[in-house]
Amino acid sequence: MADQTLTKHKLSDPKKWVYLYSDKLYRYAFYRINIREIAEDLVQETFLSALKSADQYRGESAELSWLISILKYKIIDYLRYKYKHKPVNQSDIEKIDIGHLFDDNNCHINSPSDWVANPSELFEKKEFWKIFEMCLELLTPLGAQAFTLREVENMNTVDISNILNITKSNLYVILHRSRLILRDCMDKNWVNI
Amino acid sequence: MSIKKIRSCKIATALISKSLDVDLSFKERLFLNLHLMMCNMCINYRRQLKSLKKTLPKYLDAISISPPPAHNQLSDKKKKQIIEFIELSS
Repeated sequence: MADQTLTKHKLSDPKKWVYLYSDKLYRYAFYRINIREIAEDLVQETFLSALKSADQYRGESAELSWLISILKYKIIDYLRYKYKHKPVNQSDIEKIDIGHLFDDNNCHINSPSDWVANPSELFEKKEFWKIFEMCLELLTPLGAQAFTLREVENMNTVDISNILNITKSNLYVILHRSRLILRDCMDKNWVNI
Repeated sequence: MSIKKIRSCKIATALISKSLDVDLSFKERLFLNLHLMMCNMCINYRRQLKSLKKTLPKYLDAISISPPPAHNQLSDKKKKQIIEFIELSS
């Protein structure tokens, strides 16, 4: 019985959390959602949920990872709720515009370069992530949300179409367009690293 | 299948993207392979998408060690508000 107090893991002072983690949580939320106010609110809700369930913190993961895992649920809950009440329509998909990327013969205007020629360590550089975030901002919220669920979270397409309340074929179109825009932007800025 | 269609990178990139999410049909694969035989740009395009797919799941590790973008941070107003909420509920 006496051992119980020893094994219990304590969180640091919740007020310090904001200084330590709020920027990181916000950054993660923003690039997943692409709407500033929503990302801010999700960070706030994450802290409040964490506070309520602080006694469940087992100390198995770092505080930041624990908070991020709560934030991830908040993001998915938000998306589920949003698209249930305001389903995606055709114009949301049309807004992810790829017209400027192809010429009259439906050929690439900016020829994709051969990244294999670049050392793979480039991916490890922090400039890579800076460019990635900059390019994500070019996507529409729907595009960024679908893209990050698929490519950052590696979630399967069945789950994503359920969360976003769309058909699988619409999801393929959204992912296709978002990949085109993001890749084009990454490629253009990649050479400048 | 017309030559014009087979030459279309617009159609080919859609199929490349789709192939990362689901198995393509026989017809789609045939079309894509024909296109890739004559289009190096789309071969690079596919490589780039695959590189991104491999790398992007590391995003979470990357943000825990690198500084956030200066132009896009949680506002001080919101931070203060969150601290107030925490104080109220603890």
